[in-house]
Amino acid sequence: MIKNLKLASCLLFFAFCFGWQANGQTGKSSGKYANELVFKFIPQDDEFYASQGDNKAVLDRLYAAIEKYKDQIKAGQIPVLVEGYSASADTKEKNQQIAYRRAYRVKSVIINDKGLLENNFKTQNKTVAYRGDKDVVVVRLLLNPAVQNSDKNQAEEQAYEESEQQAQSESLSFEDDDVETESQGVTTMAIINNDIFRSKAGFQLSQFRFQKRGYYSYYSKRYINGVAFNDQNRGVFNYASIGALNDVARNGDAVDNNDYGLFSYGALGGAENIDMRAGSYAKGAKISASYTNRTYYARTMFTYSTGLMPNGWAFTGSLGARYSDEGNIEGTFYRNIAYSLAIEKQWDKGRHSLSFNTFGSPVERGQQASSYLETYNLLGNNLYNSNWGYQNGKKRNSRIVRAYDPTFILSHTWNINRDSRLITGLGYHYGRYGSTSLNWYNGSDPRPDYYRYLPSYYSSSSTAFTYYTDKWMSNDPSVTQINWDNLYMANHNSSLSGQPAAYNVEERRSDLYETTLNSTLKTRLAKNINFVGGVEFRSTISRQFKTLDDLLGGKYILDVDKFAEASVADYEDAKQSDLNNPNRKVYKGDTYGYSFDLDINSANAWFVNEHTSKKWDVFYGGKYTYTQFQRDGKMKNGHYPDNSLGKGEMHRFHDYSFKAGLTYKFNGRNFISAKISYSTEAPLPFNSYVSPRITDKTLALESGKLLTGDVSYIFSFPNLNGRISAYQTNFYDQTARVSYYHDVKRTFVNHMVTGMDKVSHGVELGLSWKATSALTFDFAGTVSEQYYNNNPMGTITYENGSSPDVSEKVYYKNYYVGGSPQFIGTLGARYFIKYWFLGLNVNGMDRNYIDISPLRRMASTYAGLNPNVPSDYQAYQILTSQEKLPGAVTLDASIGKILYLPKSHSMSFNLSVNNILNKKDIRTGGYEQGRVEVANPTKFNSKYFFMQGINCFFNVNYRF
Amino acid sequence: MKRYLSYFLFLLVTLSGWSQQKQNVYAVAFYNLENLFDTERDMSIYDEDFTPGGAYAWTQDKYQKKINNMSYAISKLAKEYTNDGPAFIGVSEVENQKVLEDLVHAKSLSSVGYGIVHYDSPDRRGIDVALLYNPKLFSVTSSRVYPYIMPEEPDFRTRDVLLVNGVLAGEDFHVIVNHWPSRRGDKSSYSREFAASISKGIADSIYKANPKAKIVIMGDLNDDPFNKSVKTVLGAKGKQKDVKPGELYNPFWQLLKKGIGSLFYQGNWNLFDQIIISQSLLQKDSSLMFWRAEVFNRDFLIQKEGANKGYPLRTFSGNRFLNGYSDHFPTIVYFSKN
Repeated sequence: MIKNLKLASCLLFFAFCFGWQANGQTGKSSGKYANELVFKFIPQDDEFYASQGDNKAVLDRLYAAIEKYKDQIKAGQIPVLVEGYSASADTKEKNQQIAYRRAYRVKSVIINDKGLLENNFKTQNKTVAYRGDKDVVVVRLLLNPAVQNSDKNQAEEQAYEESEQQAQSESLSFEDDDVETESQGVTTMAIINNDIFRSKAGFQLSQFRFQKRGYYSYYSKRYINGVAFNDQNRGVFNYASIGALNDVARNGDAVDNNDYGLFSYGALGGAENIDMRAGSYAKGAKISASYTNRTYYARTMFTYSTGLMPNGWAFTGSLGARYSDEGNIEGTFYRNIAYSLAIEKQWDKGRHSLSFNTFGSPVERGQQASSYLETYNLLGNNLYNSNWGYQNGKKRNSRIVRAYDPTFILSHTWNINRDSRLITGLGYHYGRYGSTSLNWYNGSDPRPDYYRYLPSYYSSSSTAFTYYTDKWMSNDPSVTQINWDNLYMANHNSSLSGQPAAYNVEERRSDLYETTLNSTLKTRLAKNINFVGGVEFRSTISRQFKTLDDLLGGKYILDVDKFAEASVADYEDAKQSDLNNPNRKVYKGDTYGYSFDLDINSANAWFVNEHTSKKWDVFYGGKYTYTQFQRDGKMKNGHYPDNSLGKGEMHRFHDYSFKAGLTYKFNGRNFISAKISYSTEAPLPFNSYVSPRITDKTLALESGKLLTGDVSYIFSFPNLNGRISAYQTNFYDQTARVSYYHDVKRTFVNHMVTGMDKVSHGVELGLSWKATSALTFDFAGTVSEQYYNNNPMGTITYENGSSPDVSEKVYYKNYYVGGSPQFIGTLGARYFIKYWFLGLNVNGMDRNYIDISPLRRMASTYAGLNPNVPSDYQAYQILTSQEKLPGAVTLDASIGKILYLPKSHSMSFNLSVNNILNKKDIRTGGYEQGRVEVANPTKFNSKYFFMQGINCFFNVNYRF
Repeated sequence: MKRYLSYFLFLLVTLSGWSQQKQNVYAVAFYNLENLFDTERDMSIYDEDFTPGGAYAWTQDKYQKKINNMSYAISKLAKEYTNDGPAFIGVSEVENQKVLEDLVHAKSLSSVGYGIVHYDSPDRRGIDVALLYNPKLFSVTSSRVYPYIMPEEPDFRTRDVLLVNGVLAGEDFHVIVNHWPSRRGDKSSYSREFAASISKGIADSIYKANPKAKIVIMGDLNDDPFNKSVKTVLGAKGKQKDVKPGELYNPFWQLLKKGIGSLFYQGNWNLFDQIIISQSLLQKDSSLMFWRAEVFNRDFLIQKEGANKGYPLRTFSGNRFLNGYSDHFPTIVYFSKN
């Protein structure tokens, strides 16, 4: 056996050498250049032996071809390409010279023999081998294939496309196969990530205020460079912080529906990590200009990136602006500029990277108000806005938002090895948020649509009714809008008599100082086991107070609640905002009314393990969160002298979450996937205090619970792919707070609902069918239900102390949760041809319910009614039934084009037109009023938001 | 005592049989390396982008990372079933001999001592095909290139077809390495059908000399197994039982039917990187017999985050350097020796 081995290895060695040598031989076989015109030369020699053997035959063939095309060659239409090759000399310079001389010699012979001219030729010289031959000259006639074969190519192209379609459909049939594929790994990620439901439902259906699965926005977690940015007070991400920075906030990683990612444990409503590191952008510049007729009408953005440079540095900057002096809603304006700067340095061959980002998007905008159907009908205008009025002939909006959220992020990435990576980030942002509104102490309500200014209030007096109806229908702005001049007049009068101003504009501030530090590790524990996990620390101060924004010509106001209700003895104290500064005069810019901080701190740790095998992918994970928050009152409120000033009770929560899931892969085209998760979540500080402006008081606080699961079938065939899912989410022990202004009691009312249960379940379908290579049809839709599942406890508090707190059961069970349509779908067609993009979508929705008011579902509200009295019963019916907003269908279209220009420049434009049918009566949402008058059930009607009629967005981009 | 001895012997025999099984498995692979260029400017091809000053800012640092990554990936091929990896690996998208030498001398691969068979091709992009072979498992007898010259478009330049004749596991073996014209521009299916005809011609002439010749046709065909070029011109069948003597078998047809692909494009997997074998490798009495085929879609070759999650982790996305591998997965075919 050993002897055989020796023999075999010798033979092998010999064969190897032979083969190796054979490698180096220049091909002598005659067939090698059968169709080409290749002249052979002696190594390192430039002499052209035109009459020798092979060369003679080649020359004959060349001359025959030249004869055939002689006229075109002489006319310059068909150049003769002569390429000289030399690779046998020892230096590049020598080879260059030899190649040049060889080509020259061949050319000369042809010129002499065929009477051609120098300018009929194109010459090239190469210092490499041609197909292994180091010493040749190659001649070609450059016939123009494009002209000759273009028609043929087009027909071919079409025939090819059709045959491809057929071939693909043929291959779809599933029969027994004889290739052992059991152990072939299937990767599901690409297909799962290509989810048509996600891409359609997000953008296309946002016009209906659709929220996927009815989950509130605080269930969607947003990260930037791996650092969490949902604030700790309300739990939401401030999209306005990246307003007009679209081009630098475009890329990232997203996971849906409680899935985990490399940057996050995941969240019920999905999680998204926006990658804004300087080196993540392509090198180059982009400028865009847009026109639209929505809240703003012009937008421009400019972005420049150096890309990651060889020295390891990268810089990316962006500037943007959005503007309108009046948006599509009357009296609204929009003024916004934005900036972003990113710097990154990589070192140790990219093993480490440190990146710094800062960005901000300060904005000032006028807001719109929702109003009653009555006003919309009277004015014949569904986009009526009661927030504005004329002042000296100019429009002025009483509700202005001034917001600025400058953000700073420092992020370090350590690529430990091929399998492991540690990302640590520190983020800080200061969110300034202020919203103005009119306030008044003496004098009539300045709001134009105050119910006493509407004809319906005078339904018993026909003269008054007619009078008010006429005024409204005449569209007289002194009636339909705020009359600023009148307010100034009233204040002038009060100043004269040294009284506090009757009217003023206040700015309510909800500022945020937030720091987040987190670290995320991904690694491979074993061949098929991946691990991702992290720790996070967050510290937030939510600073809430109000300032006097505009005295409207008055001199001062007093820091008291004039409508505080209390016994005569207590009234002087009860009306004080701050007992330590009683009856203080307030001037422009002063803080008054209320001022408190919420100090919120939390820490969490999480992990997810995934096991992959050929047929199964399994994951499981857990998270622990510690949350604590405490109110720190800055004023000693007269209603709660012992429970307002100073640091209040510290609330602590320990929360846990578990999740697990598996995917069974039938093969590379079909998978079935199921997930389940149970979590507890601390209540949001925003929802936890009964009357946070004036007191530390809370009800018993407990973490909400959430049990959710879903099952999906995902498929991807050559022309049809999609997903169908069924989900069930149960919420337990939730807290919600409804606040509204009670104009009779002249105070804010807070209605807290606790221990509330909700259910969200349904079926989703996303489908994409590629009908031809240019035309694709998509569908995304859901049939779902979101409703309340119990009768929770409600607590009403009146900020002015006019009534004691009321705790009473609220009958919510089986009412629908409002705010998002529960039946909704979009059907679209996309056509792509020669870099034109055309799209058409039909969208429909139904089962969109109004947000219910807890007051109307309390037994005590109807205590005075007799069910046997028809009018009583009818009032009860009207007030307790939940309105379903009418269903609607809209049509959208879009067209776009991309042009590729020289030097890698490109230009694209896009026009999208929404609500082409210009339907202005579509209600996208609404809420029942907090107030109720049982004797007059239609007195406090619901308020609605209407969809804008036909609206468009036109965008031009230029990249260079 | 005798019983224990026999048990022990039985165990020994079984174990050795099992390891022998591993030793008797031979693998051949193909890998499109995605633009393996050196950093120097070659005036005869369009490689300006792949220079330090070019669009890709292709510095020595990036080149070194690319070499490390590709050699690491190659070092992992076929290791579950063989001790030494593939007997040979067809590669495409290599610029020249130098990058291949840097590749086989890289740390992950230098212990194997891969041999290189490479010829420069006239392709304008400057990319060629080549064959890397493990001299312990495969020896090269001869090689040559077949030029791609379409009579209708003599100016159209693309990769040549590489033929390598050698010996694998004591058997004569013929490998044809391809990289067919891409689907971009107005190149229709015809350009790939023509390419297929070249390989078919080579295979037919080998068959004429030896009807039992063992032939492997591999490459980035830029077409799927059921497209005309592969299905009709090459005539490669998707089921073993349909393959007659002198015909070709494409084990990747079944894989693509099940949704396994080697690259992801516009929402769908394609399987352009195929290894097609002659019927002689299917016969049960053959000494080298086809065992299985696979697309090497291991975790580390996949992009795990971002918009292209799940796609093969490539080297460049636009002109952004991702420090990945290739936009194609390698493919492998295994043979067992009786």
